[in-house]
Amino acid sequence: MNAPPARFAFERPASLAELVARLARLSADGGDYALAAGATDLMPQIKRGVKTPARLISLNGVPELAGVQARADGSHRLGALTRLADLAGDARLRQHYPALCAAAGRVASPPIRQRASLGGNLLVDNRCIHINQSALNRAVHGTCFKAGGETCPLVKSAVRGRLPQCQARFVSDTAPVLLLLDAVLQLVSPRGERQLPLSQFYRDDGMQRHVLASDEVLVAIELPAADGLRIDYDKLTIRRALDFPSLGVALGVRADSGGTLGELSLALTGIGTHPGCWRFAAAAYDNANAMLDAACAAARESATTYQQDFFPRDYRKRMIDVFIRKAAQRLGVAR
Amino acid sequence: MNAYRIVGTPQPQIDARDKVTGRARYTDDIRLPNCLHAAILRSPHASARIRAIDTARAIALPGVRAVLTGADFERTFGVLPISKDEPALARERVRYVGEPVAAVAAETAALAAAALALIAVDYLPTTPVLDVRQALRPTDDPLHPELSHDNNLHKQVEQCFGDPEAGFAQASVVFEKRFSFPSVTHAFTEPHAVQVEIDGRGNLTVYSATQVPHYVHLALAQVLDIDEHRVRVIKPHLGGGFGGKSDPFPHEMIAARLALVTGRNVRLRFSREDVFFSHHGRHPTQLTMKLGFHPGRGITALTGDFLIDGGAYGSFGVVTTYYNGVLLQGPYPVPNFAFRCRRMYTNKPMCGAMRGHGGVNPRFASEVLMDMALVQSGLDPCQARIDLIHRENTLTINEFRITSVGLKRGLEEAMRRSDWRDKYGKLPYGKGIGVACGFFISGSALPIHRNRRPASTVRLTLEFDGAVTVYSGAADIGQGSDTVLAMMAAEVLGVDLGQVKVVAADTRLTPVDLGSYSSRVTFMAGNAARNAAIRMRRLLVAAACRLLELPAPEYRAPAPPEDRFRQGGRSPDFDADFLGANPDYDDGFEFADGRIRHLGSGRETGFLAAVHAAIEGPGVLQTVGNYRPPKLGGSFKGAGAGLSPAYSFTAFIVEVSVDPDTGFVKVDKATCAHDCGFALNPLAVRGQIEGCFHMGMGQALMEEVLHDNGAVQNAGFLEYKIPSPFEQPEIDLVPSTSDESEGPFGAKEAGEGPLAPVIPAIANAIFDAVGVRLFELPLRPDRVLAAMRKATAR
Repeated sequence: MNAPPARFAFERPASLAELVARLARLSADGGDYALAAGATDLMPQIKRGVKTPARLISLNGVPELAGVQARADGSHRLGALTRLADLAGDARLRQHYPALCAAAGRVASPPIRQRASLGGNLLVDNRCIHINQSALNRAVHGTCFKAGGETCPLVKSAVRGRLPQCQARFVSDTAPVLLLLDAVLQLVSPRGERQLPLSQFYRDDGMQRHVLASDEVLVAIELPAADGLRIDYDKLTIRRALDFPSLGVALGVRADSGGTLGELSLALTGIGTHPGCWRFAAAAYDNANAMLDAACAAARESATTYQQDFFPRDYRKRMIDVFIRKAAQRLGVAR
Repeated sequence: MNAYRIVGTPQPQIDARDKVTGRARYTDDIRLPNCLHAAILRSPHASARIRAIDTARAIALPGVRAVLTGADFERTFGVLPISKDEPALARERVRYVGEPVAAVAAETAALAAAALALIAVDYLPTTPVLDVRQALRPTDDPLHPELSHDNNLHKQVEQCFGDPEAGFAQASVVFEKRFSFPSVTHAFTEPHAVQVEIDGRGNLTVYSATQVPHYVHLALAQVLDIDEHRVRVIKPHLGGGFGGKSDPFPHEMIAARLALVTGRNVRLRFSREDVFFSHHGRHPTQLTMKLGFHPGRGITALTGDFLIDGGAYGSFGVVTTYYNGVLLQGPYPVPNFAFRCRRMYTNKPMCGAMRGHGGVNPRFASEVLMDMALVQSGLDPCQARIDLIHRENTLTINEFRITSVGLKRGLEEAMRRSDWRDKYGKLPYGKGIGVACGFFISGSALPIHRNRRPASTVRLTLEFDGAVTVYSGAADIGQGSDTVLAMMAAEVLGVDLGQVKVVAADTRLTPVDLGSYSSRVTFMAGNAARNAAIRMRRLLVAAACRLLELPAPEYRAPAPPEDRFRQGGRSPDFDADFLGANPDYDDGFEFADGRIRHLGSGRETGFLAAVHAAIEGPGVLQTVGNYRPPKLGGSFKGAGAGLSPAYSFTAFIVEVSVDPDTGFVKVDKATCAHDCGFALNPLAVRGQIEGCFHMGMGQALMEEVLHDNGAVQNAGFLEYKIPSPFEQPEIDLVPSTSDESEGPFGAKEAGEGPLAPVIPAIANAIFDAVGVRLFELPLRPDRVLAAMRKATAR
């Protein structure tokens, strides 16, 4: 059975200033609210009673969050409200950042991509089979950290408040690609505006997943020019559509001035609480294969997998190497 | 064969426009006035005693009109009279997570949900039986003590025909393997829903998303202990069933009781999670099967030992227990055959009927073993199957009467069109092609409740304006039965399809049809509709003869069937007017284009003129047609299981790509030969076959209901993986027809039979691609990869 029908107040501020002012007031009052763009992740969680915000604040009326701007230097500003379908289908952006468009096009399904936003995908909640459950099943299994409980069904030895924390896994498809693209987030709060590299945004915690303050808004994603960086993104899912990644691998290659491989970069999603990201400079390695081996080893070592998903944990772990090497093949690097 | 105007032509379903434009009203779309909202409290325990239920706070909540517990229902129920073991609300104990424990009716849905939270149930949890092998162990506390077994056995069936040991001795190859199948679920689109309207005299009209209005009608009257005539069950538009709506359900009893208690209309709808908790899906199965084969003799012996996990209650389980074995009697002769099937109770949501009922998992085992035997024997697995398929008009060793068989020609054609000979064994590593066959009943010949009434009856009326109405109890669950009944009536009466309206599945207005299960409706309700239309045609011919001053035609009484496979097909009320099954209606007249023309003289009259002439006396034209299956089968215990007036046959040839690095299986193409006799509506047949493939592919590659401590862990379509449209391959449908003499216009079933061979065909294609056999479903990438690594290591 579903949780009792959700009741929440609904607001739709018409400008960034109005939104920020509203957030300042609400946070001061204790702030039981959720920000909603497409709400494609939020609404199912509300329906299952996983989230119970008293107030939903729609971002869809805030013009400052919308739109894509291209600059002469090849850099771009993507409004946080940019719909994934628009991103996936933007022919001009595709010339600059084909992997980002492709990753956006791999999220969920066409109807969901019509509503889901890029900002929402970066902020999509971490998932675990123990929290993303029906109300009855959560009741059957007792609570987990994320449900406010004192134990973790996944890591039986874990204690609330100590490491290892909640192991709900990170599932954004666009984040690994944006990490390799050196994306910078434009954040606005009542305290003003700040620019934060995406690489500093996420935290190793399935609950407190990022450093965004509760009264802070992701306004836009700044992307430098792709500048010869080629990225391949692929995700492990049993179906071609609908599923969150059980594993996602973004592999980037940048040629040096001589046209040979200068830098290899790697980011993972679907495994672990936050996206891992690594860079390997050619100078430190004998050849491309050695770089690739190093990338595989780094990813493997960092990835702790749990049985929390469709695929068995050992298989997901084994697929890290396979996905990295397949990406390298598609990019024309090494074996 | 006659040249038909309507049957045999592809027709969109008559309610297709209503469905795609949102006009169609499904159960939950109905708006009854002054309606209460019901909600069900479900058990959080797989196994527990109920020590007490305190409903005082719930009933005290303003706006709450009634609260029910198990004490409000004295009688248990079940679709089969032999296992009426299910309470509407749990009494004394709960047997699965999600079992209904209490129910409320309140003025709003929010109030009803709030009231549930106020019901305090004092449970004493007990150790649940979650594993089917655990269920075999002796226990002092079985789930159903009334059966007086010393363990959790529900039903055991053993049958033996011929001499299996002698058969194995004659074999040149023998394979025996263990197979394992998890639970899968129907995944129909529309969750269960029910609405109950009560009138001032206390009569109930129950709108329910059900495949079996008649059984729901009977069960409601029994459980509520009211006269049957006080209950009327109506099935509105329905969004898919696949067997998941073919039982009477607790929520139907609950909503009806709430209406009786409050005197108010009541509505109740399931969430998707409720559907998963309620389940009734395919039984998880552990089976060991042994197959003996000899190139010159075919299958020499087949034996199976099946252990199926029934969950907490009976549902259709007794039938499933039989079907696991008996549906192995085709599509090839099996001269020596034995099986044992045990259905166990466990503390999980109950399993029941699901598309291909009972025949799907054993078919995977037999067709994989068959493939192994044929490969081992150096035979082409496709050609060898063609050679082995049953001949027409044979009797199986367990006395199934096999009549029409069109699959030999069909599979030959499929083999040619798929370029089998150029592909099998010749594709590069990672690419493969495989084949498998199956067969299925066209309706169960025996009713669930023993009686001498027809299996299906149709009433047909014709009004002064030429409007034809078909009244049938058959439930269109999306498969298109309304359309096919209308097509048959229109064909016989020579009217446009748009002139025929079907009033169906309303137990007050429509004659009894047993329901949409066992692929029986097109065959049985179809024959009934066709016969009703033929009788109507005779009334019009008689009127036309009067108008045209022609002598009335003399109709031959159909000869009693004397074919040795028609074992005395007379029914008890056989008389001169008995039309039998699929009678010829060649009366020397042509009905077309609004005219009735006498072919001999060329004289003709308008259709409406004949209607007016015919209607003068009675005021309304009304006829009845019915169908009753012939007497079939042997006299041994359990001989009735699997008997059908006709059987469909299917073969699938499937091509796959297997990624050697990931183990991912991609189905590239499928070629299907399905013998549904005469395809009455080829568009609907294609839809059924594409749907069967999609469903079979889901079970083959990804579907599995996961349990954790007995609770369904993936109770939603994000977590329970049914294939997306991306996974569905192109399906080449090759003609594979036969002329089934007993089917209406020669038709047999198409809705279930095509499912079973899909799964082994995929597995056999994987073997051709990468040389590994898998014996456990689903054939997930990790399992394929592990098998490949193991094979390489050897």
